[in-house]
Amino acid sequence: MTRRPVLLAALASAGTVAFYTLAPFLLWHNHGDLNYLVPVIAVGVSFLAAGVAGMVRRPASRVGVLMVAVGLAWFAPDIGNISLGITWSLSKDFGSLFLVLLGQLFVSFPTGRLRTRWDRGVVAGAYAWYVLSNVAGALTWNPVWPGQRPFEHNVFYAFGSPRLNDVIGTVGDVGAVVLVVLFAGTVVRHWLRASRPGRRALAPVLWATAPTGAWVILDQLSNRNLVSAGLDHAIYTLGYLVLTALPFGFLIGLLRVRLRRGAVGNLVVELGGHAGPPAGLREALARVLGDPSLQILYRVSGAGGSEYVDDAGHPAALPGDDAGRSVTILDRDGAPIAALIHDSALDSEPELLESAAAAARLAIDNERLQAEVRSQLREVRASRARIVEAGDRERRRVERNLHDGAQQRLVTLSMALGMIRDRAGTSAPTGLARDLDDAIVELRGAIGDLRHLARGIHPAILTDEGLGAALESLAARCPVPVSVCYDAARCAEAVEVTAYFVVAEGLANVAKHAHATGATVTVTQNGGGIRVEVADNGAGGVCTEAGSGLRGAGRPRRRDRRHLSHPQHTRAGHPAHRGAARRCALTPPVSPGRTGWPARSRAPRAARARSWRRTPRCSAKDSPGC
Amino acid sequence: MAATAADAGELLAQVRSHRPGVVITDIRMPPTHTTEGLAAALQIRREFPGVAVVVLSQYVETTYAVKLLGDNPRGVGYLLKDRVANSQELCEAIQRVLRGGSVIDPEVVAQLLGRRRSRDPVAELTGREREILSLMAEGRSNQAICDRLYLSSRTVETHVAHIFTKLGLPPSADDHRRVLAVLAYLRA
Repeated sequence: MTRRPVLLAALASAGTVAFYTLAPFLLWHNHGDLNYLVPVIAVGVSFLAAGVAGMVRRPASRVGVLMVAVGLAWFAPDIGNISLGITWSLSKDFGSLFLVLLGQLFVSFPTGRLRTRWDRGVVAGAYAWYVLSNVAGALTWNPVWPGQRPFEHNVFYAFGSPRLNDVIGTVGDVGAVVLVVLFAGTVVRHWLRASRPGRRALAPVLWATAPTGAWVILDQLSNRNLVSAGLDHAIYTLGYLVLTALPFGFLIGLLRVRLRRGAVGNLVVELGGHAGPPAGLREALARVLGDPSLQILYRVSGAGGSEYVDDAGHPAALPGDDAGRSVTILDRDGAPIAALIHDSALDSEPELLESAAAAARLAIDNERLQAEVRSQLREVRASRARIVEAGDRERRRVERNLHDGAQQRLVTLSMALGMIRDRAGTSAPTGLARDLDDAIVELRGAIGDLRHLARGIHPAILTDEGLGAALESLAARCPVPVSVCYDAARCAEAVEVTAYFVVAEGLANVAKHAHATGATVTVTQNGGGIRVEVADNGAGGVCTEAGSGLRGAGRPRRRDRRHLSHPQHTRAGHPAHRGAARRCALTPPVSPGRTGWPARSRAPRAARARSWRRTPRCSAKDSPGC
Repeated sequence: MAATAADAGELLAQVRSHRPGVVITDIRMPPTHTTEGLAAALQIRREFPGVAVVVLSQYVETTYAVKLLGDNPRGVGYLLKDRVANSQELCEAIQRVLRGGSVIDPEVVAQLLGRRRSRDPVAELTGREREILSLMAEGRSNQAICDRLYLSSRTVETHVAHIFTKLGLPPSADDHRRVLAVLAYLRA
């Protein structure tokens, strides 16, 4: 709804109120009785103000418009104060329109729309009664009383006697009572048929029905002079009190929906704070919508096309039209992603439903995106683990090929040369024996070089004996005294290989840059993985500075292994304490099964851990800190 | 040569049927190409204490040397595969293990001696003493050291006594115990 109707209604209301308030003083100098004027203005103003507020705050509901209409109709009979026959007659003959509008307001709350045939019938009957009884009354009414002013006569009078008019009036009043009963019955019927959220919405009308109905009926009786003067005054007071309070009751009913829409904001905050699947989404939505029976079904793509499943993953069907349940589909880019199954009464609060649905969509979308990212991350990690593992496998293969191929043949060759040398020992020309010796020495050098190369590609001892033995071997070759403290169970091979190369690189750097006289390698168990620390007592300082053995620790080649490791460089705590340390927490890759244990160690995990667990052992007893 | 074998199972079967004087095996054998040879050698030593074993390997690791020696270094050799090129060296090693001695590859000993320590009594040894320590670690007897270095047995005995004092080891006349003690010291 645009702002124009609201503006129009506000202007009309203000104009009417202003006219009604000021006209007696400015136009017809009939100051009237303030005891009468104030309550009348109070009733009209309350309807107009509540109506305009309703139009602003709850634009989709017609209740606001209806309340403005009731307010205007309330003031309408006042045109009778203009000293004209036509206005006086209109005021007297057709002044009860607001009663019919009030009835319509009652049966159409909270949407302002008439939904059932019965509702429409009752309201149509009320309008028919209004037109028939008032037209008949207008045609037959010809009042005469002492002191009658010239314009105070019925311009519509056509025929009939006071007696006929009296009968018509009585019939009309009986009709009014019947209508009041019908309206009240309709409201009660609505309430009885409503579900919990529906009843909450109808509460203001239900409570207002009895006093309003009672007032209307008593007012009719009082018009017929069927009640005493004292009771008449009470009825008058009751009527104005009820009518003044009524629109505010309706307004609160409307605003409460608004307040519940505010709760949707809290819902968004609450759901936003959750990491992981929105397990509480249904409960939160049910609470906000006030419908404990709310269900969320998720649309999933299965083998046989898309279907809805409940949060436990069981297939579920959307309810039919006649089940008293409504379905709100949550979609993304036009494709349904989920459905809210809720009480049909919530259809009367489309904005609330829409807000809640939007919040649910956010939560579901959020979860879906998170799940997607998690799954992609898992896939990327697994793929990186596979790449690293494939690399390791390839290195092992190359090393084995070298071992069984080139190295073997060179050894055979050196053996052959040795035999030739032996045979030539005595009879060979001078120089040949020396040349053969040179060739053998050269060949030994080549075999040695190849051995170093193969070890660098993949240390066989790592596969054969595990990280502890491999680190001992590494430490033994380091030109700097290194103590190894190994206290960890055997790990996935990918982790051990990574740890090995991390230490190898660390020790190489210690030897090259640190000017250290000692280093320690410490390996400890760290949850499912291991923790590796290479520390030296060298020049130290910030790890990337020259003089620290840790410089360059993290070359690109290591980066692919980084999902396995979380390197952390530290400077020794005390300034006087030289040296630096590189720490690495290494955890097994995503799927240990896939990245593989050594083929020959297929013992159950616990057994394997036991058999490889060692007591802390230090290779250099005199090293500090171990 | 009594027999050849392609893998550890066959090797054990051949040893059982032929009872050879000495077994020469590669450390890597099918099917896994890791340390089957080592395992087979250990089993032969358990089952047939009289059969000498020489394990050849492309790489020498002190870990394996220690495993192989266990607590009884009689009739055990652990050599780098390259040594087969020098038939004289190989023959000498085979003869030594056949006589119940032990042969540790000089490369292993060099690794152990080259290992740096924070407080290093080995560094306090004289050049000659280091030479003799290496030869002891390789499993040579005093007599063999005398022959090798062209020294009198008395001189060698004096050097050995000095070495043991400097390293704080209890003196041992038994060559077999001596090699274990020296290796254990160097590894520590």
